[in-house]
Amino acid sequence: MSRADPNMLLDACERAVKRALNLGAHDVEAYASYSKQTSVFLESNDIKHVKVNEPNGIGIRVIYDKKVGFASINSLKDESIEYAIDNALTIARASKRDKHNILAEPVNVNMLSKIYDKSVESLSIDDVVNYARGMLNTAKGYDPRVSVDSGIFEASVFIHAIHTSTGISLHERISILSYSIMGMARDGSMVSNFDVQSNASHTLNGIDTNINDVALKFAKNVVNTLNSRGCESFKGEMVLTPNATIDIIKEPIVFSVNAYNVLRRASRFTDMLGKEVASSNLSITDDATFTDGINASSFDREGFACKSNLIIDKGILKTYLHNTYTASKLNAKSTGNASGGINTPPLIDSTNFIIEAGDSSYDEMIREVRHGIIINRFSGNVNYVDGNFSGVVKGGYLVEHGEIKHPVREVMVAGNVFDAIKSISMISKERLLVVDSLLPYIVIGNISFTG
Amino acid sequence: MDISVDYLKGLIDLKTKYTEIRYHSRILKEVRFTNGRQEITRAIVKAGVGIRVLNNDGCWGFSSTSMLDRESLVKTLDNAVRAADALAYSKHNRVKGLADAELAVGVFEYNNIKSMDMKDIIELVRDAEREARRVDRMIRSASCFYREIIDNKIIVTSDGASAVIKDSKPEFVVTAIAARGSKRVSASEGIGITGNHDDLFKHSSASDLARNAAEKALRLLDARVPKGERATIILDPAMVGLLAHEAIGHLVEADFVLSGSIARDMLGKEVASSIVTLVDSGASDIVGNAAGTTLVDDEGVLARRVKIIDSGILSEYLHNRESAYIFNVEPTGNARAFEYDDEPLIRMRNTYIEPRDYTLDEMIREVKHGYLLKGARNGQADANGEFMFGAQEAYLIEHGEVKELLRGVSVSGITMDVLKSIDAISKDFKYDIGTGYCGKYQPMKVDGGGAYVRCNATIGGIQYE
Repeated sequence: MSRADPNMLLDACERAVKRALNLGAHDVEAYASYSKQTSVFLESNDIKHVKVNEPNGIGIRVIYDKKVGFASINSLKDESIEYAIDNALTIARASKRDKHNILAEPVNVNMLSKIYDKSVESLSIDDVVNYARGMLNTAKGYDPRVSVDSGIFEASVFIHAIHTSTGISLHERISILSYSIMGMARDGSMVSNFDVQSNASHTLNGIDTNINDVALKFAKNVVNTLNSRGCESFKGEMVLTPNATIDIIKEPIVFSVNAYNVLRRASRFTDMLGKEVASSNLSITDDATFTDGINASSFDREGFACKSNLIIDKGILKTYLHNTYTASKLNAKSTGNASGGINTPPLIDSTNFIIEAGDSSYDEMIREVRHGIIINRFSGNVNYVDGNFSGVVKGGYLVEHGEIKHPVREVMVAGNVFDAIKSISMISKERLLVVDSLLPYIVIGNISFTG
Repeated sequence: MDISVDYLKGLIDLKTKYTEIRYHSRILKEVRFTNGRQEITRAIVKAGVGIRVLNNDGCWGFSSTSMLDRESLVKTLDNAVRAADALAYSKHNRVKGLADAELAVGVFEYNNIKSMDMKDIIELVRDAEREARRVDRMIRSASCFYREIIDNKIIVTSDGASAVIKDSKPEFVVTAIAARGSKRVSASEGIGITGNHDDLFKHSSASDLARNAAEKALRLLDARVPKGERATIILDPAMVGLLAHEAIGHLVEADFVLSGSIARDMLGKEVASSIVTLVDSGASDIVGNAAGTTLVDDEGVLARRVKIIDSGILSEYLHNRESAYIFNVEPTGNARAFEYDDEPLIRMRNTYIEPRDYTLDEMIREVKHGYLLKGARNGQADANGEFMFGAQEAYLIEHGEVKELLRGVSVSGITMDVLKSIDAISKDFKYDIGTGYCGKYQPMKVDGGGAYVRCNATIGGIQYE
């Protein structure tokens, strides 16, 4: 059997479960993965090197007397699996009992069809080099002042398999193309802000256009902000681009709906199910079945069926994101958000994060802004517990009376995420797919800018 | 399977210009408790061989495998060669050469490595987490983790490096959440080092760290967010470490310099006030156990001390062998790879500002209006020298006295402006960002520190009306 054979991974999982049960485990979950990655790295306006990796491994979770242990190893040989089982059992025996330590039960899983493209698997190293070179040339060709500091184009095929003593037995093959480009513009001694743009897809459909878009967006952003200047301190509106929305809106919300953070009482949304947590124009879905998003998958890290989960409906908190443990603990159902690879026991994360489109066009939105700043990228700190954020505006533009005035530099932005999502004034019709998120432009008022 | 220096040497491909073979086995143990629940307990083994070749056309290729039999390794070497050859028509700036370096030969170990028993780790973490919650009723939640990473590496290169490297980096962090009404705030205390678990708690015990985290959260509960303004700031050693790392460290990584970072035209020029000497070192200078300690880098080069800024003058960049050849200098030992399947990149190690003669009290007394910033959060550098870094706590200073405690904020400035504004540096020295990881395509353990430093920067606070 080839290493790239899903059945080989499943076979390793079955051997692991059988062996661990023989060694005294009461319940066992074995999760294995394999991937073949060809990555081309860019550095200093050139192709730097090519990397070919083929990692695999297995993570084994054992439950013994309601105590859990986990160990992983990056090899599927019998003696390696045996070693990991020993480690997992040793940990379980030394651990604390918790009646919620249970494995997922088998459920019906609909296998997604659009996340594997055979043509990705047959790409040669030369093909991948050509895509990387195309991205570099597009960015450089836009303007001679563009300097690409670094970048990557990666084509990979990922296979995961899971087998549990509760009767789950699944495997799946996923292809992934991912790319990013980062750098600045330089004109004499004048250097722009950094910008970074990335995207990813499961198939080769439209790849040339997508690479082109990413490279041009990066190039335009850095060139346009070369002539940035400072501005006065003021309180006004922030216009978040999809990139800035990831840091200021998405990540704090993902933290707050993660059921582990609800259990920890670290989440601002603790005890808020069914209550208003955001303004009524905000609706958010986490959807692992959205195959345009790079985190699409048919089953989660525990073998539970992935699905679409409406998290916030017109400002009302509808659900937290759960795995089997937190669902049992909080008397809910798993949402299919068990996350992690072979090296970690199942945790919780968002999959593809989708904010519903609003009703104004981007241009209309800008025309409505009285005094504000467009934030292309946020470089700062967001405290997910209290919601305070503070950082530097990157690639920003000053907007006054509905007009974009000039690019800004050395401007800091501060506010509170949880207050901000309750006072969203506008959401754009246009949305951009950024790797695993489908996001609009968002306008929020009462934000502090320090120049 | 036991891997020896000779086994790897036997694979070196003499047909290429340069071959580097690195076996890296990593054992990671981690225990995390939250509110009395044992949230994660894991043991991870990750081992394999990464092979990098430079072909005769001056192109790099890298490949790795977790299968250690000779046949798999030969295939991996072949993949690396094919990867390099694929660049024949695409790469413009061919690698002309690798600078001569003092290559490591022998066994290198920073400290007596001891792994902690899983049972002991579970007790340690369980007790510390409970300790944090016991401090006060308002501590609603706490979490605590211990993680240790023990590495065994063998590096051989076609030009003579042959090193066995043993390394151990444990870390411990406690986070407490205080809440009253709708107010909720979190605070952390942590420590990360190179050494073993005895060294980890040499200065503060696990329960001291737990109590400190809880007390910090309680202090911050009623704190306001500072006003956004340009101000005089005094940075604690953790913030100084972050300043050294973000404000200048990234800008002088030679790969970044070649891409056009602001530091490109600055060598030999005054970039900081004359009291500033800023160093990146593979050794744990001044005090022991710094988390970024790297005796030998992943190109097999003996790590040396780099005076990035020498009394205010920008003196040296951070190099690998390729960039050192371009700049015609001796390599610095900054080529580091995170795991076996990662290729070496130019990364920092322990980055710090050398101590001087002030005391903290003297520094505070001279400030009319400003802030004392404590505890590092995230930081980020930018190509144009504009950097930001976050503090956990900000104390207002008025007329030479420390007043009200305020919430942590991010602070930003332009590297040259901030470094030139440094007018006082204290005596006390500490490394204090050892729990953090630096990100650049791969994560990496680094450390940084210094004494207290006074300078000017912009506080990213609120515009109160």
